[in-house]
Amino acid sequence: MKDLLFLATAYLFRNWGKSLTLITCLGVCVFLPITVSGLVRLFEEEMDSRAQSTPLVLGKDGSRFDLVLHALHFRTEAPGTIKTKLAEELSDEGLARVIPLFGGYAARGYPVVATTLAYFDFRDLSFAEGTPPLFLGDCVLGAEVADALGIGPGDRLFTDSQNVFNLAGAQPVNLRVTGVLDPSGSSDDQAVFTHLGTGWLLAGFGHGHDDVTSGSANVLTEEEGNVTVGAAISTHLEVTRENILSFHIHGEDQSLPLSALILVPKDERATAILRGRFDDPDDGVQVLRPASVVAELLGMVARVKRFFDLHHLFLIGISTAFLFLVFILSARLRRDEFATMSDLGASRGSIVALQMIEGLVLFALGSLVAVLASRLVLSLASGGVLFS
Amino acid sequence: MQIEIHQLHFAYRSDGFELNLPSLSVAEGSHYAMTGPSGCGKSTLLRLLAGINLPDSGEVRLGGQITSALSTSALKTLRISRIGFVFQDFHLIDYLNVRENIRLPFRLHPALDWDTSTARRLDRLAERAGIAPKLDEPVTQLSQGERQRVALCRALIHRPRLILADEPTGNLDTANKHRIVELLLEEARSDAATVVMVTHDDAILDRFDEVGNLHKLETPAPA
Repeated sequence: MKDLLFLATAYLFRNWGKSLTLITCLGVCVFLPITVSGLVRLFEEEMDSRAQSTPLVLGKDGSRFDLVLHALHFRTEAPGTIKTKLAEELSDEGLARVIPLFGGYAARGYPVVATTLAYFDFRDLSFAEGTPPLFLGDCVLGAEVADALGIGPGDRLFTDSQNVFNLAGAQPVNLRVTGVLDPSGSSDDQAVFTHLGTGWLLAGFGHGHDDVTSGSANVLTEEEGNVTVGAAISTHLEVTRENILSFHIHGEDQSLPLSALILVPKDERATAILRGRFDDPDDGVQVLRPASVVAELLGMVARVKRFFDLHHLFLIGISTAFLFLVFILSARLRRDEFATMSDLGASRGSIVALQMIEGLVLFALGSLVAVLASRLVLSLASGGVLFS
Repeated sequence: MQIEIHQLHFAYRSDGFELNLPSLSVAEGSHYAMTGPSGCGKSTLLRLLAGINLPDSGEVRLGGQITSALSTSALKTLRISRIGFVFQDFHLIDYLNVRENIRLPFRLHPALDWDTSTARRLDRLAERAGIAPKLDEPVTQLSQGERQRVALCRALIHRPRLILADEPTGNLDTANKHRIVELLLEEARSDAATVVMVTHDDAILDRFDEVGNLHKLETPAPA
């Protein structure tokens, strides 16, 4: 067997172009199913683990998938907004810990999530460097964001413009990076976290500008406590120690928007009460158990995966037939070589074994390459690189 | 190994070629040169002696064993372990280097054991054949004459009891021709091996114990 293995590898080595092509074909046949299967499993695990660790999500009535994906992964728009008042009421009741979220904005393509410090505690997020976003205009970067953008505490990060054609709309804000989170292997690695007030600044509910108090140079008219200022007034795009006091929110605090609430009930009874309270569709609010919603979503993914499994089976079948054809044609081309071996005294079994060993060596190398490539892809994916 | 042929008949159905040999005997350890015009069946006779082809009728006895009575497996074992065959067109394996081509019989059959003495023998044969410096080169880079010498070394490496050579000097110049015949016959002599060589070269016939013309030995085919 050792001698036949030597002859087989000598042939494959000498005909390296053909061998490489066959190894690639076999590698692809093995790589695709195991990688897709691995990616789907990783995706399911990540989705499921995040969902299991989030007891309840409350938000505006609408698509349950959008709400859960928004609250858990910050990737979709929430179905709508709820008022801060509701969060305060729920918090006052004491049935659950209430963690507000306000999203829908981005910085250099990464979602900006406005929340409170309770969120970091709830997700058990630790800081690799720096401090939490304590002040207006501060932000904390997820590990992958910091890595990808190459910035850290002390640096600045501009939020993306919502609509470049709307000059009267909310302006981008130059955020000050105060900290970077440790990698968590979750969607938190790919987000930028800010103070809730900063989120409202991004949405245009608040701003900072030059002095418009009575008697200042910017004031055009002043009537019954209302002032009219000129267009030359400068709006701050950046919160600094010098101008922070000029920033303010327009409107009542309780009517400011939140895109979702994460609720962490005290116990099962509190869970039941909270779910029951918002059961009425006329409330305009829904409370969801993310684990159920994600299970439903993964059920759809599983159906799509079954299609891919069939597709891979078909691909493997076709490829096997092609490779078989290649081997038969190759055997015909090598008829003289095998005739020589036979004339010298090699048995038919030895010659068949030689060809089988060649096939096995190719298959083993193809599989090895496929498994290594698959592990690389899956490790990148589990690090979040592919899902970002 | 003694060779005996009785009433041998063999035909290639495709082209109507027939070989009819009433009898031929080559004593063990003797050196026999077979001559005859092209196409008379000299190469076919060698293939019949090696058991690569089997007679349609009659018999070929090698060392007392009738080749057509042996199983395929026994015939192959006999061929690889006791017969050395120098093919007319060398039959070298292109993807192996010179050393591995000579060693090939040992790679193909478990009946042959490769050891250090065989490795030394390979080096000695290559030295005598004048191909020692090329042992690690691919055979595709060799001249026709060098390829012929590799084929000869491969036929001798396992100390066969019967050496069948199909025009082994056909591609060689005069100096190399004598060198190769000398090597072949000396090796055969040292192992008391029987040699049957097909040749058209009258200049080397005097080195053989016996010379036969196949055309004259044959029975004319019935009209």
